[in-house]
Amino acid sequence: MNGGPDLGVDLRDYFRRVADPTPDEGRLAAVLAETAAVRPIPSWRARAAALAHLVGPGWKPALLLLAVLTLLAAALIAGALLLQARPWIPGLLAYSTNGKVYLASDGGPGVLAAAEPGVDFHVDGWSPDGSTLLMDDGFGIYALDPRTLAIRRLVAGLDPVVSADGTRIAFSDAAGVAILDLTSGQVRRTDLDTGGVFAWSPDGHWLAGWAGTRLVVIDVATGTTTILGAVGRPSERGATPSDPVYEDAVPPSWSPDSDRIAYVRYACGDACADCSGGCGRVAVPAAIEVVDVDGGNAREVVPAHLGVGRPTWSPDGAWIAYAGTGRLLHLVRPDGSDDRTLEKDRILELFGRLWWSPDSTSIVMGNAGLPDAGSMGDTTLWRVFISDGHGEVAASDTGESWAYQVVRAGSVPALPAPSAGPSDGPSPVITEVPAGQGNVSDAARDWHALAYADDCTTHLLPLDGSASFDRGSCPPGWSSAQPAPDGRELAGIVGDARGVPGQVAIRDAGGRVTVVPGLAKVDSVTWSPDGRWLEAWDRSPTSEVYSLVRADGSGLHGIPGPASWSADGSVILVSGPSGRWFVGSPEDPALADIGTFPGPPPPNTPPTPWLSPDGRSVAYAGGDGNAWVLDLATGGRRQLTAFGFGAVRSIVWAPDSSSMLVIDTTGAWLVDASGTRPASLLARDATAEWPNDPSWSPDGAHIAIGLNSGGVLLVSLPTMDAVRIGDAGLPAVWSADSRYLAAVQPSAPGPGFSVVVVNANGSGRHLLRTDETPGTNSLYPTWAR
Amino acid sequence: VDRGIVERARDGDHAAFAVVAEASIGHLTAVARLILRDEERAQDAVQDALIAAWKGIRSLRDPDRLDAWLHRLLVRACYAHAGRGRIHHVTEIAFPDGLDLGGPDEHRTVERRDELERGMRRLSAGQRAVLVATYYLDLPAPEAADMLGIPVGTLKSRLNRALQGLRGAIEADSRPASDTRERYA
Repeated sequence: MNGGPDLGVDLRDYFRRVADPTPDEGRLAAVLAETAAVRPIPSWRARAAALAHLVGPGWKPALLLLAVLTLLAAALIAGALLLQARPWIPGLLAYSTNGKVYLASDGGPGVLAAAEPGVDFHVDGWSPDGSTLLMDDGFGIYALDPRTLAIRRLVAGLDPVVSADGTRIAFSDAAGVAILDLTSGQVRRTDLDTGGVFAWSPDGHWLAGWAGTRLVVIDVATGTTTILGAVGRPSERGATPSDPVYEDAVPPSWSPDSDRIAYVRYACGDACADCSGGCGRVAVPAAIEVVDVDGGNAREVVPAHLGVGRPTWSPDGAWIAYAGTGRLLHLVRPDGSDDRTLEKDRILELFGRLWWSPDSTSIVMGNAGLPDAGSMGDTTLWRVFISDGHGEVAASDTGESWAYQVVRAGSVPALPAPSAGPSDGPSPVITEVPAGQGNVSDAARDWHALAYADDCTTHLLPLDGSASFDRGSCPPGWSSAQPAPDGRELAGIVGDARGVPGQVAIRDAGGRVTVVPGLAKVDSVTWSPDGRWLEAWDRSPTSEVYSLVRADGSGLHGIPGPASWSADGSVILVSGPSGRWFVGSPEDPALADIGTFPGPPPPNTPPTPWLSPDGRSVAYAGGDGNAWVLDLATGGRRQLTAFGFGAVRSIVWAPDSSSMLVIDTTGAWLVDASGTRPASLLARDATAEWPNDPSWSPDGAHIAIGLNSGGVLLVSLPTMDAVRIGDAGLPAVWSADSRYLAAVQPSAPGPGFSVVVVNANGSGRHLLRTDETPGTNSLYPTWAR
Repeated sequence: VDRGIVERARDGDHAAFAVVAEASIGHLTAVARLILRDEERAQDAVQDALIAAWKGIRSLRDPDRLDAWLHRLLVRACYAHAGRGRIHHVTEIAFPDGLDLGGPDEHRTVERRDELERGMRRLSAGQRAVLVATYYLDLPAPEAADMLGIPVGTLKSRLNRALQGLRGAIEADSRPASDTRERYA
């Protein structure tokens, strides 16, 4: 069954069958409760109509003239303002959109600062002096120098918050919240258990956040935790508080003297014990409270309403800005008096966090806008002045995250000249800094990720265990994707101009897709070990065609059969259709015919040759059921096993070509290439299934052997110590540095799938889990670089 | 919804808006579920769309265009929620209960729907939105383009790509696993 010409008909039937119009209970009530508290935004058209109604129909021409004159005046004023070119936001602004980070200084144009193919950067905040921008990519935290645009990876985690003195960052990861000392590199765990909702006190003495449903402060110097009280907060509901776009996921806000904290208290904390299941984002009324750092003097400054959140203390301590009902910007005094709205017509939907200017005269905030003017509502940054509530557009199209920082006069770093476009931006250099944060096993301390192609998208499953994310997407009609050995490029089959699949395409790490010319009707592609060549295979019943082509699309030529490759990709051995073998370089279409396979005649089909990694020898299964080796330089052959009855199933060379692992009907044998006596590695008893998919670690020190009865046997050489990884599936893949072994967990419960990662000696078991639906190639991960 | 009700809502009558919201929420929920394939995000998107509708209802020029306007608000909300998935937390939306698996034709139909179900999961929210506008809402191209906020020509090219993507996903699923690896086993 395939896509078929009646796909549209089938889609109609599918949608008709699966569409479920049953609304969630309570959502309508939540909508009506929130909308009842706000008025619709008056439109210019409505205002004009109201004015016309007041002045009567006879004045319409005059009204039109008045409107034209008003527009002209507005245009003149706007032009004058543009000519002044004054900075609308003093200081530094960073924002991210579509995974790229842009910088703007003193209201100037945005400059592309970070764009790494496949990496989705998210802006988190500035250091106090503006010398460092902190950002994350969903599972790692980075520091960007705005002067050089150099990027340094700091630690695995999310949502970093820098201390007032700039020497430490607090961040969240899978285990909770930790503090990284930027000078020593030391990481210290805290009792806080939720990411993204913690805040440094201005004096750097305290860290405030949540532990369970309790608001706590931690004395950073001593580690002492003080519980300020049990309060409500949204609980698990699919999204998590560590998700920075989770709208209530805002930190407590400190008073400038570090003595008090403003925070959101959710009504569900009073209504239910654990808030599970019923604490939706908008459906739960919330109040804003202020409490002393010792837990005393807790008092409500904003009564509970729907949608209340994001309290942000002004630098002068006089105001607390917050999002009120209807997501409108409000101000209130810390004692609860003088509550007022700063809402203006054009500020429709407050979006994201609030940032005060240092002089406490204005607030930078986001506005998602409404999609009624030909756009889908791009995010715009506004600077709103608290004196009269008027706002100015500070930046447009700022994407999903931003951070604003005003630094000392004269210390705003000069940014590079604006680039012509994202593609012309500088390429950041990502420097690895070992984290050693200790929140996961030893296997997860470095910048490693598993990549797998799911016929469409290359996914990365980072070893810090935080999440999976996607690296690029597929072109239309893409299928049979194969990731390159380094996990960055992806080869697959696409359709031609008529939609008939069979052309080979390569998607690079930046998402650019190149169709390889000259190939058609291709059924599958595989990469050479060095990732420089692709082997294309058309296995139609009438003609089997094999071709080689470089990854850049050049050098296309046919080969007489499937190729076996040397480790460096310089030598191929091809098994031809007539049982003849051919050897040579992939660069040279003229391969040397070395005749039919040497040795006892095979019972059925010619044997599969296994070329040694150094390209000098070929191991193969002879017709006598034994393993043989052929020296390609001399033509000499040598019998390696002499069991006679054991049909060889597979042979895997050691990386240094000195030995090989032979699997036959009796078990697995370690065989020296010189022909010395084989050593039994694994004996197959009468009931066990075949050992299979053996793989050497790249350094040759370990062998992983799959057991169909379950798990992977990990053998350390030469001690032959063996550890069975019981829940690992096949095939097991080694990292390039031989430190880790990874395998998909075949039968993990629930949706998605898991990957088991262990150290090379079998210790440090670590489980990576993604909620994504596994695809065909999810079972064949490779290590990304 | 009666035009008069919509006009009253547009004039700021919240009770009238409640009628509009109640009449629309089920249909909007179905559309959001098809686009987002995630129950929680679909509910959030519907909620956001209805709140945005109330706040912006005075910009609705033609009350008869309420559905199209709500669709557009919903698509925009769906895009926003789809883009919020930096971390994967997918809650699968399963088939409704009670499918009759009786005869071979029905079995074939169910098998086909299962293919489409898996194929749809592999598409982006944007691609699913194009398919939903075209094959679920059965909107003519200009109206579908308006709903998605794109020109008609762009709609056609996106629809073509979405269908190709769906075909490719279905074909990929139908391929035997690891065929290339078996060559050397």
